[in-house]
Amino acid sequence: MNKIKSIALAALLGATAVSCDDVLYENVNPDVAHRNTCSLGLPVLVFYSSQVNYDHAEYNIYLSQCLTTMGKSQTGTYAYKSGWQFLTMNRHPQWRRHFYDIGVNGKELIANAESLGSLNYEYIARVIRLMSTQLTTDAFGDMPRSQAYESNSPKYDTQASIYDWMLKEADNLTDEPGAEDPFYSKAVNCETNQKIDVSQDRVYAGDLSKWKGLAYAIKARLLLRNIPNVDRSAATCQKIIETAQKAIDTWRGGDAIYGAWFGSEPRYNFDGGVTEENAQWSESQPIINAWESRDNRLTEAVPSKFFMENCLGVINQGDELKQGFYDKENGYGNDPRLLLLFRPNKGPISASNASEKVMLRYLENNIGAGSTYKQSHFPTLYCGAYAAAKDAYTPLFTMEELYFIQAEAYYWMGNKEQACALAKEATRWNIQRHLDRFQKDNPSPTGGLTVPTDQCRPQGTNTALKRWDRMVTAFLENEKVEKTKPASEIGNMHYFFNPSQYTLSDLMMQKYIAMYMQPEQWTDLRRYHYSNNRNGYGIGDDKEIVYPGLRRPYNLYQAFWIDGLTDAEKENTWVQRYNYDPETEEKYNLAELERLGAAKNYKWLRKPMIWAEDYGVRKSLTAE
Amino acid sequence: MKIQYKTLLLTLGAVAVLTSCEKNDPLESVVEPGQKVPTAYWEVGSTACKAGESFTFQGKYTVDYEGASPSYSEVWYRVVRDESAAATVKLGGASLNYTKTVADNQVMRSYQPIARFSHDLAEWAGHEFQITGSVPVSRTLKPVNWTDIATWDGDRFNQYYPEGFADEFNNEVINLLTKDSTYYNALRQVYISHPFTMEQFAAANAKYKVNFPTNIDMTKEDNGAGEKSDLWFSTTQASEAAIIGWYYVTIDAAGNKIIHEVAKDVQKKEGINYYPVYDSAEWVFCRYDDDLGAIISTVRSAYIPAFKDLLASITFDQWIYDSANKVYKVEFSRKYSLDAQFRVYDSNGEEGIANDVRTISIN
Repeated sequence: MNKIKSIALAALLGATAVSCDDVLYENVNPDVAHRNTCSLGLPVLVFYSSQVNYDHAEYNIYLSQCLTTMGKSQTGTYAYKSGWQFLTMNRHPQWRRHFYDIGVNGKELIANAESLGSLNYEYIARVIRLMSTQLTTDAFGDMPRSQAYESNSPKYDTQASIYDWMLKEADNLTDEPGAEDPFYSKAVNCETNQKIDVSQDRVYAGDLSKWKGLAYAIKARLLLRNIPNVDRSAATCQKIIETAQKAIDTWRGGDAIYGAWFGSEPRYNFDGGVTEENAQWSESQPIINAWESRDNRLTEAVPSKFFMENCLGVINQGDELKQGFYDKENGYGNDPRLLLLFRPNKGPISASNASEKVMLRYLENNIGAGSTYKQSHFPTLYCGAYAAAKDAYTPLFTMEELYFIQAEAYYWMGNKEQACALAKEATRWNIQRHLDRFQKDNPSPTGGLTVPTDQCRPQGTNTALKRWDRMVTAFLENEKVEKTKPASEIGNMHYFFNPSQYTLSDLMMQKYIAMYMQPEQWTDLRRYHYSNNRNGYGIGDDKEIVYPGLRRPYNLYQAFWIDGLTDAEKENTWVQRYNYDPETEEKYNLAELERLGAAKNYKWLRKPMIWAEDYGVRKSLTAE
Repeated sequence: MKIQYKTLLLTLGAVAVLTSCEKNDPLESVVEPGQKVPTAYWEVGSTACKAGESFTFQGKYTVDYEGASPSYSEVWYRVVRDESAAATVKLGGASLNYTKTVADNQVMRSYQPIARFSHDLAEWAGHEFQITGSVPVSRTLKPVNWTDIATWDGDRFNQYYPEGFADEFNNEVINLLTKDSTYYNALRQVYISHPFTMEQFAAANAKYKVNFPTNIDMTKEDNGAGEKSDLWFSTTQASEAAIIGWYYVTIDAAGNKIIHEVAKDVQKKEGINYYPVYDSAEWVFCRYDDDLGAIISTVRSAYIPAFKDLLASITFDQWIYDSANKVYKVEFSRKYSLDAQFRVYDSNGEEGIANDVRTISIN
């Protein structure tokens, strides 16, 4: 008993000792939600599906040498638009977007949907996760997938294994024969599905049949990665064509939201308003949650010489005193999109001629503008379908891309005529896409249609409308119509749609233009090894040069991109990937970066994606 | 249970009681740690004081314990010296921006009692004693400034600046100007504006087998600057007429860039990229750089040792002379500050020091 008394006394003393009023409980903030519901989770995820596309496109438009700046520094906060000194950047928003904004929210949404028995939520979440995985691995390469969210330092999966997972997931989401776990029908027919309306899903208002189109489209994009470096076989090309067709048919079936041609391609439509309510590429330059995003800095951007001369064919090129002038019959050059994507501004005619005139100005990449010029002399870039207005849209995938995917597959099957026809049709509608926005923003006072004229001012007169049609015809058909010269006689003196002499370059240059402000623009360049007439990297049996006129930016960071390289080596040394997000991976998962050889290693930036290795190195996208 | 376990448990419990809560500190209510000393606090009238004058203060203190009463108070201070000496190169023009600075911070005199105030001077303010007074500051602590002087004074320079400062400065400037092309424009400016003699150029030509012009008319008002400016020329606008040759680049086994210069009429080989070399002064290599997309000029490596010799003849005062403002760009400052304490003594000789050390800068 004495023993028990002693223990009881000691326990009592201990209790007295620690029973202070100031005991700290875990604080719970009553103003913050600790759990989420599907109806609240889905809008966030759908919004981030547009944001992740923007995040990649914002980097890629500079990496693909489409836009540049007035500067010429080797280093800077934005390595992707200066000298590619990526290792001092402190954050890449794409990483967080995938692993946190989409990954964590998607994971929670899927868990909630399963517990709720509403599989339609899970389906949409999985389609968006598939798209985000594709965008992220195609920028970073190997990355966490199978062990993601298990710890702060998960093992990275190889890019090939991620491709394997993505292709299987695409099959599951489209109920392909042979799919391991078909999910589409299960989700559509789930009797306990809750209703999803447009307030939750701004893209399709919960219509899973249209989301299925995105799963097909992503799969077509993944299969296209076989060309030209992995598998160029006719069977693969045929599979690409069929998969893209399924996406096209899916989006053109049922109620086509955006007309017969664009069908129901996935667009995230913005209303315009404050911050996130505005289109990412618009003039309001929204930044999502401050530090975790980058705004579009189109106010500091300048179109590149490659884009303006070689791709779009600006007029009088090479003549310092006349290039970029407006011609009444041919506009600013071969491609009518010169009038839709830019609004030219007044400025000095040249570095040595201070007389001011409205001209479409541009610069070589990272060469610097010289002290004569100000930003206001270069064209305004808030034009076109995506950047024109605060209530524009960000597409998750475009119909043109599906056409170009098919065209590329046809080209590699040897059917150049069909490739040319598809590219021409896609280009015609890409022009229309941007014209639609122009006409929406510039309605005619009399209610009719308008077209852009000099300084991209709208006109709705019969003369202007007819002249516009002539320009489009001269460009697409290479015909001389009245005084309007055919494409082969002005600008870059090249006709891009000649079925009898159709080239890979014709195809990919037009895809490059159609992918303006889309992530794929840079992917294509890498897939084709930045092939240009300086590096002489010929593609295919005919050693075709794909991007004539393309060149490495000037003033690249010397230690990474110039020192120790011969002229020939330099021309073939391009940036192939982003470094892993320094803010998270270098702090929490350094061991994995060291295992891969990616830790603070600039040579990692030069390592090609599995689909951008030299032809013959890899026989399969999914084999290790 | 053995008795020692019981004891241990009870002891642990007792310790836990005594230490477990900040708000319940039984130790403080049963013991009084430490020696009793006067409690003091003070403020100064100003944190700046002129040398040779006094600063004022107000002190407050209490002796609230048995067996002692206040006796007197004192103000103590130590003297701290801050010195900064800098010189800026001006001969190379605005493009060469180099300043060498040395700084020193030392306690010149440790804490000493400066003034004593009898307790009789203090007044009881209801809950504490208050005293006001002033403390003298020596006129020898006056600050010194020696900046942008119109006439060079070597003796004062040696007095204020550490030994070796001028030599280190000269060497660093010469190294900056000759190590690479960063300060190409500054080197050109030095060549033009410094009155090197023709004998110096001739000596450099002979010693290094180079070819500086030696027939510049130095008797002109500008000391030949205009003529030298014309002699050191390079091409800035690309033109066919200005091309005097070609160069190509190879990389050696160690990864170093080797530039090969060839004549204008050379038979160009297939597979090699030739870039233009443009017309310029003989000691300048003026070329198109394809990585930068611009024409750049550098001093030819054969001339670098000769330039080093020429630059070594320039004295420290010549390097720092600002000809536009007609001053030598030196900046020396010496100033003192006081770290002052207020101390109160009781009738037992126990000392209480105010926590606040007041810093007073001397001007």
